[in-house]
Amino acid sequence: MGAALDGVRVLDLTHLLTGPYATRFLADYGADVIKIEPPGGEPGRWLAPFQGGEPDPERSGVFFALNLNKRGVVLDLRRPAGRDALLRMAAGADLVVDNFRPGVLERLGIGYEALREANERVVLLSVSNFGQTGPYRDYKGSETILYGMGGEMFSVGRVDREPLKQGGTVALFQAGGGALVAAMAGIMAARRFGIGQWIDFSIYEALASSADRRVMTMMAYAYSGQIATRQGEAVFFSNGIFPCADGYVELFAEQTKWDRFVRMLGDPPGLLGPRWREPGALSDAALKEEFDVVFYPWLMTHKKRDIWRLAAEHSILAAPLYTARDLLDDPVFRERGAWAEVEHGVMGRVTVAGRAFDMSDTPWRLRRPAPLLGEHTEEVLAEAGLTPEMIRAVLGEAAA
Amino acid sequence: VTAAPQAPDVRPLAGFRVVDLTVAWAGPFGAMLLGDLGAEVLRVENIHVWLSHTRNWRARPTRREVPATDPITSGYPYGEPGDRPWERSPAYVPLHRNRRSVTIDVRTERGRGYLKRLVEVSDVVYDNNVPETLEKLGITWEAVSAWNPRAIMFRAPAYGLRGEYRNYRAWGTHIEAVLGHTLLRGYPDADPSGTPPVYACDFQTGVIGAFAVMAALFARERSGKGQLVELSQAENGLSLFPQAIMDWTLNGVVQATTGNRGVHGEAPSGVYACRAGGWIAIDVCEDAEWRALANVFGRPELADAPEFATAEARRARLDELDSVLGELTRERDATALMHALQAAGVPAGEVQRADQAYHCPHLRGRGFFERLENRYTGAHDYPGLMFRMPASGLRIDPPTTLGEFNEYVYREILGLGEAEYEELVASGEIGDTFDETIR
Repeated sequence: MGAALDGVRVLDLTHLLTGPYATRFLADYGADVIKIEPPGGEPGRWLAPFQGGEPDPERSGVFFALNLNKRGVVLDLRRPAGRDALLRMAAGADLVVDNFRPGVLERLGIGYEALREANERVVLLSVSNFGQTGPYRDYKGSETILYGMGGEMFSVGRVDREPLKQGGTVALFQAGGGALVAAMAGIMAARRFGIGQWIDFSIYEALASSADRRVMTMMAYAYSGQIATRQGEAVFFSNGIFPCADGYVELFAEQTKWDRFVRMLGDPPGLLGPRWREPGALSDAALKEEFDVVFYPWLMTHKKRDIWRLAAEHSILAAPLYTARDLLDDPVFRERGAWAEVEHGVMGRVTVAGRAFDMSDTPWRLRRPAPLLGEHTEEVLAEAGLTPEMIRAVLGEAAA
Repeated sequence: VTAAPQAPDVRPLAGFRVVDLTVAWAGPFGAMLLGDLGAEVLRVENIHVWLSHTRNWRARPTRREVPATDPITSGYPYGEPGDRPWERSPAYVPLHRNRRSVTIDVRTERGRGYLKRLVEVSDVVYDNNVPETLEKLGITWEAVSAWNPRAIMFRAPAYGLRGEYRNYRAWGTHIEAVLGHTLLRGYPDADPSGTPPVYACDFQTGVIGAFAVMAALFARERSGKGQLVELSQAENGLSLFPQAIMDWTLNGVVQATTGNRGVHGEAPSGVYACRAGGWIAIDVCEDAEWRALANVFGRPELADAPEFATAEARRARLDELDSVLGELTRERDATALMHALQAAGVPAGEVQRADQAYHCPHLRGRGFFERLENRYTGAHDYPGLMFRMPASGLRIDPPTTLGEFNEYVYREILGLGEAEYEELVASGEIGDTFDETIR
């Protein structure tokens, strides 16, 4: 068998982070994702880090990771040949995805109505910060703004400090995962029932739907009036992030796991006995002092991966605090095939996170690196039935 | 009078049946999305086994035993756990809409027989347990595919089905640690041991899991057969960190936390204190936005000051900008300031408490919330569908309650006779309350 999404064609008008994240999964599992960029390239090509550190549109690591397996086409959608080419391509597409600000697609003459004229069953997925309607429709967003408004940022952090964002652009990629669900749902509806439609996807709403506590804190408020806030110390002392011989580990050993936990530490005499098993013992400040005297020296003589393994052997929840370097060095991730090596025309051999999941019959395939700017313009336009003169017109507009 | 003809069900996953064996948050979230899209999702639980941290940490805490610290744990309706606390936890209920709860005692031969028969007439088995849990019960891919060659089995343990870590236990926060996320966030001036947890991978396992199942269903239209989909939550989560991973693979640079600063050159960039405990996030990208910001604060001289006028200059003075902005925002109301800045074209947003998001005029104006009612929680507005598919007739069925669909599943789907079903209920093998011994 081929890939799961063989035969699915996607016109990808998205740029930067959220949209390209979603469409990479479609490309990874077999869809023909055609990435449409404006002349000069989409702004995602200027996202750091760059190979070598110097900004270069063909050396952005983020662009590379988000656009693997796609084909690249340059069109000037503001001009007639570019717009006509897009509408011709739309005739053969299952899905068009954009993440322009609301109204931009219509102004370009390629809004849902125009696309629908070209292809009655087309699905348009519009990804935007706040959606196509509503009072904040035209507000600007960012990783922190959207997470702060939509996600459960307010209660993350120390009680005496500012609330904390997540690492990198995690919230925007979470929304990208949500947009991927919308994309695939649109494809299923079109293929199964012949329904084309315009899907309105708001990043703010995706984060307000988050299983990372926001739906829970909103419902806790609705149910009881309680509001999640930033907290002080961990509620019991065998829970948290601790230093160790070569970094940090996170451990969670609740009361019911106390005996196993103490066994993992080698049954130190100071931690044996019934008083450690009394209700509330692990929140007792005096016991914490006794505990720390035994626990910290143990931590400092053990490395993070060894603690992880020992904890697993004793069925204790634990994990090392890795860096990207630790991840790449980890033999288990490597053996399982988490990484892909890809040959790129400008960067050479590049290592990137590969498949997100394994399908036993229709596996993930590495088909191509992220496209160079305009790499597939002529090939894709010819496939869409454009004559050589039409293609020349498109290229002329893009070069002008 | 004749009933109006019923509109055909054209939800994207109409007609597909999912057996939901999930635990905690990541699994139920993905199963919810499949239900939102029209699949019939049968939520399988066992009234003789308590899954801690799925329906809250305990089955039957008294009001006195409910800790006051964390609303997710303690925020029962009206503060009362009631006599069925497991039906009233805000950690559970909102993730269990569009489901049909059935109880099966999979510890018994007979129970496993029912589960097998259910898999025979379903399309998807959806799971995120640690691998050995299902293996001990004999619910493996080999078994599932033998019972039903068209079945898709989705399994999402923390670290995958093979490899040394396969049976390592983890919650979201542990997966985040392994992915490097814990070291990529937190206060840059503080030790990482104080960094509080987030659960980004619970979200990402849910959305990517729902996609993976749809992709397998799509492939089945051609192949006619099911397949095994294995998602390691940790490997799936690698997709969230291209900045850090690519900086290492391309440049040998190990990234560290930037606190609240954007990672793509925004300047100023941060979260600033406002009046009365409010906070505002501001991320300026363009020079015009900076000039607009200066005007909103009534400080036009900042707009053209050479040390701030260009992005390059501002990026070189991030700390200084933080002090300038910290002064300017301190006495302002965060909500009003957000609107003033956005009206002037400046990217800004209030860091909203749960109650603020719940009453947000934009979310309300778009009809995001939906009123849902079930017998143990009453009627409340719940966060609604993640996105709008206007032609697909999506809807939300209220959160399911334990064993609510037992009779439907055993009698109608499995075709049990009345006597056998009544015996199952009378013997206490199935039911709508957890075993009394579970406290």
